[in-house]
Amino acid sequence: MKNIRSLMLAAVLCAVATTSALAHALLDHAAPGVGATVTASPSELQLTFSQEIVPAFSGAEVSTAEGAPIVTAKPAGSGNTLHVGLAQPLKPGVYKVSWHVTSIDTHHSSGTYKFTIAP
Amino acid sequence: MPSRPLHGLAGPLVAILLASVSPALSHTIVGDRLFPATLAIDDPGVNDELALPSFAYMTSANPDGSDGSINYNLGWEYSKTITANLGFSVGSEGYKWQKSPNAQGWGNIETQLKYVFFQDPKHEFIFSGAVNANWANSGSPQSAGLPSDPYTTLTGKVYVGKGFGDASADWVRPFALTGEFDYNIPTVTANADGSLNPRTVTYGATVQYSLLYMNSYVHEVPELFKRLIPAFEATFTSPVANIPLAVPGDFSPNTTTGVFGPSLYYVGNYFEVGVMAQIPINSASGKNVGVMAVLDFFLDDIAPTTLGKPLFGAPQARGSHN
Repeated sequence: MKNIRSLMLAAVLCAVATTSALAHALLDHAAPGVGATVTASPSELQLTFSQEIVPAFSGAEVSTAEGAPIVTAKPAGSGNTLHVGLAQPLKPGVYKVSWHVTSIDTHHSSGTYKFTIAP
Repeated sequence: MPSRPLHGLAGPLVAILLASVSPALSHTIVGDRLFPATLAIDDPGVNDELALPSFAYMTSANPDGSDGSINYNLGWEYSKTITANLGFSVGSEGYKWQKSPNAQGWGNIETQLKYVFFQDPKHEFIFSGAVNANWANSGSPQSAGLPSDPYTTLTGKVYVGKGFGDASADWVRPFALTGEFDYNIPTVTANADGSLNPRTVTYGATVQYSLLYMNSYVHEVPELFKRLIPAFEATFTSPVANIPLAVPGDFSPNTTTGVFGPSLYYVGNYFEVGVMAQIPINSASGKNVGVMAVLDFFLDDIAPTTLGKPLFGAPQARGSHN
């Protein structure tokens, strides 16, 4: 049993000692918000993740509820946030955002959400 | 030497129950869905993680309805991926102690090989199976107050998990279900004292409502709630073969034991904390409300390039849009 307890202690120490690595990036919040309804078109979308991301390997596409693509600028990132500029103001309606990011520990994650611009 | 705490059939029955309701641990991600390391049953995936400690508390009941012993255990489990779909784990109920009467001991070591047969990230569906061994005499000796099982038990397991992120109604999308079915085979049918070791089946399920999922994919929730996964869980064990004869005044050897109750998980970037209230379904299962809890470290996130990756091949891709 002493050996097992030593093994457990070693595993904990290994885990705690490895401090530079980060986790899977989850979408923490966005602007416009996930599932939110806003009254006016934003000039850009901001997606903030639970972890720092690698902008070169991250991006987002915007489409209408019917699937028609919306023209955006090339996504740019800083820290935990991905910025997606919109070429034109969005008309009232439901929009779908499909994102994919790579966190700085190389974990890849992706997802979709919707937001609405009220008439 | 502390007195042996349980007598007659109550001992084996409660031992079976306590073994079945010790936390079963590991978490996984299928598509957009994170299935947390649940307490009543194991989740259906394989991953790199360390559950340390897990904790369980339950008061047992005597056949006459009076309070029995008050039981505690502190366990652990280390899970390692061999490939993206094949995982190995080693763990134990760990240190067990009880009051009324006082006794203590170490549980046997368990090892498990688990394989994910199928997963569909888009539909957040996963199906897997495992072979588990609880190794005889790898815990406390038979002279201890709470000795470990003197026989090895082999268990075949199947798991299933389904997230409802593909549902059309937004309120349904945070829901997920998981289930587990085990067939437990003691390798020794009768002990030296003539008592029988029954074959049993263990089955359980969880219903989860993931605020973590809701926040990221459906509708943002307040900061306080965005990392939480409330759930409801249940697990039961029924003897199916080699069942001892009934003894007057003792629990029936055919009794199904089990617990159910609400649970709550907080999922951080590197760890998870979970707690469950376990309510016994009958007096053979316990008395009053017990508790299970776990602190689970995500080694795939803490050490993704060393301890936290499969020994062979790439990790499982995460996300439904890869």
